[in-house]
Amino acid sequence: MSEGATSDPAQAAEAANETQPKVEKGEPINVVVKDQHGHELHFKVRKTTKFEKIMKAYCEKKSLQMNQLRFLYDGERVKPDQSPEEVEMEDGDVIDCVMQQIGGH
Amino acid sequence: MWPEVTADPAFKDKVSSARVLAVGAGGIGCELLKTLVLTGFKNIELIDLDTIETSNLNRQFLFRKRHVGQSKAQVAAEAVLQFKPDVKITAHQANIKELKFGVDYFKGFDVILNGLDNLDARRHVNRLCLAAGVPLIESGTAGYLGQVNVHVKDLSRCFECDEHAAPKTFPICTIRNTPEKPIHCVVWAKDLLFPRLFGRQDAVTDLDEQRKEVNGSSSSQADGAVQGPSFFLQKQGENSYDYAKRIFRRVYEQDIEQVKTMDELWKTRRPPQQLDLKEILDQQTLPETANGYSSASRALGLTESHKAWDLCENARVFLASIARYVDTRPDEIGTLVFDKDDDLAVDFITAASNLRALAYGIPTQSHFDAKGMAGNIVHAIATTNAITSGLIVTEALKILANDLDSCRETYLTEYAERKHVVMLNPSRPSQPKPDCMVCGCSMLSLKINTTTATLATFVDKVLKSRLSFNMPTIMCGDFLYEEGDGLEDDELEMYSSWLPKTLSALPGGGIGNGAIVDVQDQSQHFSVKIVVSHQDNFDEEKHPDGVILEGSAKSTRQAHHASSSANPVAELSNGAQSCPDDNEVVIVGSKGITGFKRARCDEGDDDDVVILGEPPARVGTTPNGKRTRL
Repeated sequence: MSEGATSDPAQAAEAANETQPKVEKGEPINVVVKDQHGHELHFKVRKTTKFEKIMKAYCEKKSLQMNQLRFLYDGERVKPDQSPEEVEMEDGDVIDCVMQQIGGH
Repeated sequence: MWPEVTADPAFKDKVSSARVLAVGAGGIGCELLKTLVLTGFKNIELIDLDTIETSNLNRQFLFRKRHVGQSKAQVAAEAVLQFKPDVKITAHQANIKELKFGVDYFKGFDVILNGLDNLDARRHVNRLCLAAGVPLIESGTAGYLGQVNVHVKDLSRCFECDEHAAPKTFPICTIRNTPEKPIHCVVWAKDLLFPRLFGRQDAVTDLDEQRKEVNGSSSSQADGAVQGPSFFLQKQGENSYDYAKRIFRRVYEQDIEQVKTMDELWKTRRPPQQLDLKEILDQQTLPETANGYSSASRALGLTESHKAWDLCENARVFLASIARYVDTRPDEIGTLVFDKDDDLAVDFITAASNLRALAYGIPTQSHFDAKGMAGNIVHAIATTNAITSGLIVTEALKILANDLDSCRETYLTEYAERKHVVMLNPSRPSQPKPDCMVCGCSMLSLKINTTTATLATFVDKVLKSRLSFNMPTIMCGDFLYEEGDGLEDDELEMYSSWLPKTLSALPGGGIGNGAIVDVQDQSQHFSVKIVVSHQDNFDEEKHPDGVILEGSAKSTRQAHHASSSANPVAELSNGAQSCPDDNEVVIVGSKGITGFKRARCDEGDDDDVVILGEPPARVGTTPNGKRTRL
């Protein structure tokens, strides 16, 4: 993974943050959340950011309820209190967001 | 080790001697049964309550037209025996919730396979599997989507560790007065108007409540004849079309006029417009009711089910379907319930909801779409059921091989941009949730108005509808309420006399704020504790039935604390404490937003999660548009 590719010149605020010493917050990466229909939503987060924040933002954006969704990465359920760093996520990696169906007709 | 294992003679023996229970013989069930026997399973029990309907035949391939009306379980078993005569299939036409299918019955199987179509039965089976300690392979489909989950007690999550999206309900005032979407009109036609005209006459529906409310507030020109549910019945000697026109004028002229007088509703909305029947019909004729057609739309020559009708066509179908009911099916009036396979009922619902939509300036629906909405139908796809069944059997083999490590939960995904290529998304089953109300130990928290909600509401809406209890026993202090077989007559009488009482007025001190209610169900070997807290008012939009039920309170003490101080649920919902001071999530643009509008998802100075937009349409337009295609 490359650090440079993730910084976003359009984001002035982000750039301002870079200048401040925030070593403990981890480097920024892009995380993609993809639903079962193939629709993607891209997030820019720090590697240490808890997934809960991404999930919340995703649900808010999509008007969905978090407890009815399952987030999967690399064949495992992603837990809200984990961070991209903990699951060794790299820039541009995709989290699958799935929902359980209750039909069977 | 796979797939060599499956070729191993010892394992083949294991499969052929394994005892499996398949619950459901419908869409998934038919495919599952076929796949099971072709895989080598020889001892199968099959349970399904339903009988075969014509609409099943396009995807439930074990059934033929001649089987319509017969038991699904029986016919499926017979069909499979024809091409695999050496297997033993025991078919039950029964409800899985019957007491004879208790824990001991479940213990007789190596694995349980679910091919159900509703949440309630799934929860019931889940509880019994946990009680019996038998692995459960659970499945579900809807359209192109579906999944298979593996539930092994203590090793993986149970079915109820996670929440499931319940069917949507709508606030009653939206349905009654202020519809905004086509579905609101369909629900109105199906749940309010249809039962009022053709259903049980003794029940007062919300349609009448609306009338009272409006009259009460404006005391307008209420002519006596318009009052009461009897208005909606055909009068002695009244011509069927006169009757239908009278109904039309009532619901699309008078009722709309009334609702327009409720000024506060129309401050932010466009008020509806009455429909003038005379103007709409103009010189158009209406078909004879006795012309051999069972469907009103067909009698009118409207045979294209995907084409939406215009105003006049809707009005004619509306009148013709009412007239047809009273003339050709008079015996059923008063007992009818909406059935999506009843063409006349679908005609009526389509026309009635479209007319309402037209009055409110909402888009209308075709016969086909209205049928789908009224029947809550996502069109079932045989292929999805077949894939799902294959996955169920695959997981069942892993369970039999005792190779739990290989078990996977698989979600079907549908990538529309690739022409419905179906993909599988396997993941490991997750750990059980310690605070699951079923397999773990936790308490639920219930907010309800204890001074107005009755015991009946608690039993029906909370325990049975939300929590899928079958025969609940309720204990709270000295209060005891029981249901189920084996009760004496005087007990039954006493218990049912309590149902209309409000929670706080129940004997034995009542169920009030801070009460801990213990609810058990012997038929499911399941019990749960519910911490009740009183709340006066509910947001009708969010909680139309006046109930907020959330899990999971961690301990009695905490729940008590919370209910006495502030909001016991806030800190429990979603496990999400409100965000700390610094913010780590920023959305940077998304589909439909051109350029990069920065949308904050939290307050604070320092945003760290940024949404970078939604391809596929915009690939390349995002800064650093690095995309991964799976």
